Amino acid sequence: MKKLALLVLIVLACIWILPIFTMFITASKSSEQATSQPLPWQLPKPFSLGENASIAWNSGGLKNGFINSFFYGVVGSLFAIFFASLAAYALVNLNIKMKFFWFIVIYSGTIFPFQMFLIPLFEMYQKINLYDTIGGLALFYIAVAIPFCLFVLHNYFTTIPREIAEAAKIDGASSFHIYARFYIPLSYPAIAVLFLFQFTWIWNDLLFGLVLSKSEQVRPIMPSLAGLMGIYSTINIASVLAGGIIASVPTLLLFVLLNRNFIYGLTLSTSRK
Amino acid sequence: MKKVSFLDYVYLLPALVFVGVFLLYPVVRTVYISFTNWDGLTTPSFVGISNYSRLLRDPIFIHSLLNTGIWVLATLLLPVGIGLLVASISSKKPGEVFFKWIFYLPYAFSLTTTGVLWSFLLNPAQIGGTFNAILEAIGLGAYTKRWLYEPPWNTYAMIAAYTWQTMGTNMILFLVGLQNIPQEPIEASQIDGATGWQTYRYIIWPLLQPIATVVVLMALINSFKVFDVIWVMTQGGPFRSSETLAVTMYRESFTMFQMGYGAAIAIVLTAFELLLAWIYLRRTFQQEL
Amino acid sequence: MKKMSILLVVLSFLVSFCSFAFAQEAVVLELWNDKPTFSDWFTKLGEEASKSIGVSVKPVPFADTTTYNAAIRSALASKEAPDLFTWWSGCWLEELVDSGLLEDVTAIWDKYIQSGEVNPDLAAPYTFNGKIYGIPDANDYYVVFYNKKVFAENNLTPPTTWEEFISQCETLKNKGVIPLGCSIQDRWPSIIWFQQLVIGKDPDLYRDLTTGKVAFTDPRIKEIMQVWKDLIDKGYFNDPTIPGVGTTGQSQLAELFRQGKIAMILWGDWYDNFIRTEDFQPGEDYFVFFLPPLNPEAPNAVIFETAPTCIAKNAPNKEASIKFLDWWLSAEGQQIWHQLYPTIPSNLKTTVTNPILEYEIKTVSEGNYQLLTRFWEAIPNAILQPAVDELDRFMLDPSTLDQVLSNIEKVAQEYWASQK
Repeated sequence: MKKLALLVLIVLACIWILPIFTMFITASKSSEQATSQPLPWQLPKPFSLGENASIAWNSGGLKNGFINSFFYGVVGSLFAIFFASLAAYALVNLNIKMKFFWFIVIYSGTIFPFQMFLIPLFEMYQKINLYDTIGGLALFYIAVAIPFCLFVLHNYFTTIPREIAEAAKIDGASSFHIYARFYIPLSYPAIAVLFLFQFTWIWNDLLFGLVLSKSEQVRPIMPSLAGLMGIYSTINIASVLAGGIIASVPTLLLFVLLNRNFIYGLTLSTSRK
Repeated sequence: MKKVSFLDYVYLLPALVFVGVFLLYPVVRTVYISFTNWDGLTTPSFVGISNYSRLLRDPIFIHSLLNTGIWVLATLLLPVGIGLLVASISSKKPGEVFFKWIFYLPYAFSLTTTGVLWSFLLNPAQIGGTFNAILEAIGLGAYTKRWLYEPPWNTYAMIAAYTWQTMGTNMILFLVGLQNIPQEPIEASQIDGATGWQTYRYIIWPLLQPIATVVVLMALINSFKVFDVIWVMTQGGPFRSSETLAVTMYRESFTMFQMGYGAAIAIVLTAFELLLAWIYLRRTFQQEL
Repeated sequence: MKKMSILLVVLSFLVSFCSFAFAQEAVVLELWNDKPTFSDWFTKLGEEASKSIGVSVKPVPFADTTTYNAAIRSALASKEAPDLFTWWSGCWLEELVDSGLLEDVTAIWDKYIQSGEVNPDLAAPYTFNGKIYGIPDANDYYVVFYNKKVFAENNLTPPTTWEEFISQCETLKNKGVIPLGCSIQDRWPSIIWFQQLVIGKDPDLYRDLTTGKVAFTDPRIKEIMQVWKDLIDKGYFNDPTIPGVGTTGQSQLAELFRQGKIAMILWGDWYDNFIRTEDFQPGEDYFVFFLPPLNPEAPNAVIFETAPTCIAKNAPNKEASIKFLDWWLSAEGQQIWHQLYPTIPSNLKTTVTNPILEYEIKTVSEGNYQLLTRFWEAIPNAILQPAVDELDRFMLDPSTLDQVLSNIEKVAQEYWASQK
């Protein structure tokens, strides 16, 4: 039974890795070879990954997209975590009426399909001149990241023993002091997890980047990648895939770095009292 | 005492303002638009519930609804089911880390990139579509298809791409849940002579419920929202055969410029999603009691 | 000392402010478009314009056509309207004209038509209620690209009659070459063969079809579809799922053409961009011909695709925008644009340097070819989108012929009835 289970696992792993393997192989082929010899067991000759990547980076506008998305990812995640943590702290520790109601109001942000937001946001942004501005897009990303952060942090804060807060209060600490000096430091694992998830989400966003921006200075990376694949583009598949790889480097790196925190944080953030 | 109370609400303020302005206001506005015939260009005029009644007569809407149902079911079975399977097999065993990496890796690629990659893989063998080429190479050439152009295979193919990308996160969440399960009851039951399957079913599975609830709920909600993968791989085609409600909404709004109609579809989509989520949560909470 | 430095700072501010104000002499117009790859060309065009008329142009590309569409619609009515923007002709333009948000540029056209520099027929897809609403930034004919080597190997020359064309297809097929290239990737290319066959039967039939005077289920249309079905059933076409101009950066159709696996591709002459490579050049390796009509009695006709750049009514720099479009349509502007982007010039005084375009212009003029607007622009969007989907269905499975035509007709009837 155990051997069968292991076999199943190995087969699945092979299936899972094949697309990635094909992607790297094809992205390393010259544009002629990519169309004439697209099969993954036909190895790249000459090895053109660098060349394809630089085409995607330069002509594809991925350079600006990379920088922009990095900004959105960091700013969006950090501010969302900050605001959500304030709200979570209030709902867990402070004297709020109708806690469940407020929680649902904020959490409801995740429930709606993104299509619900598209048109009115577009309209609103045009009217108040936020359209195609870095600030405008950043504000949206902060907003859209808050609900899930609240969900996780709220759950996590409930696992922090009340005695800590009560002891600190007896010592004369203010609410904010307790929040900043106790709850936040104790929540680093959860915060790390949230940063990983939200940065990845913001980094990978296509729809809102597409709808709320137009110029290269503001546009995030996925819409730029999509532009590479557009019908007016004559950039071949090898460069497009190379671009896809470039576009995936930060999220990959983030997982590598925050890997341990990730597991640990999830353990604590999703367990019950 | 009252002054302190007010300050407490200030903590909620930033989150409320952001969510209210950028997320909730658009929802309200979309509801309004769904009762108009706006085309994005001229000023909208009120048309009552005619957009909604039109939905009932629209065969594309019905078909789209069916596809959405398929996606919801499949997303519960595959990314969640396979995630559970993989986590259960590899948990606390040597190689857990290795498998964890392989299955999580696709999540680093955006759904857009995933869509492009899988479109490439599913091309006809003639132009080097990997999948069809492999089928031919191992003698199963009769089974090659124009995967993205033959309903319902196009939907299944996209579900495969989506599963590939998202299974990893579910697996990791289950791994976390499994890690949290204390060893004593498991060892106790094994001493009592329970088989692996019995141990799993009566000890492990119930203790996994909290995590499972989170995973299933998230998967459920996300399955309604799927858009990028479908739009990149088939644009909901051919001839609108693989559209889900999210895609139909986008298509009606941005290709046909029937924004009122599109808004109505978005409302219906949300209603279904909320209904299912509520039913699921209620069942879960009832079980816990 | 401190007072001195403060004075210096203030002075430098004043100076830079003044030079900034004076530098504003050259107006820079925003040209919104959904063609990111055109950016370099638009920029260079703007530089030349700046030298010539002191008006420059800055392209603002959108990555995605659907978002572009939404952005334009929203911006036109607002204060955020662009100066210039690219759009589509025919029914697409009509929608904007009806909303009253476009600037009328008839005066510019009149000037060049009167001086004989511009063919008045060119203005047809831009004219509504006697007024013209855009300047073409691209003009293309739908022609057949053919691989010269494959033709030579089989002793073939461009066909002059439909029968000759069919027998050439048969010959090629028997030699293991796919005679005709086609695609349904990105949905819209299914109109290419449809429109060609209809005008090949009778250009007037095409005009009537696109204005609702003839039904899609008309026996003549059915007959045409049957001809198409025959071609597909005989195996003359490749698998239509092969990308022609795919939205995933692939155009394997062009690659197969270069490799000689596909002999002919009917497409807009802009497909040249996808076919041409360093090793594969027009004239030596490939060229074009006009497909002979299906019906030998039919007059010479070609499908014509043209796209405009328009001025918004709420443009912030309207005067300068008009000046710019006037210059762009002039011989000077057209020559510069032709060097940048190979398309059929609107101004007859332009020296054409592209052999394919040269051949097309000559043939159309000598053969008195009628210009029929491409199906995408000729028919209203409400009918077009379902029609494209249904034609895709037909190309994937020609046995659905009747169902396809009746599906399209149903939508068409609904639309035309609602317009009464």
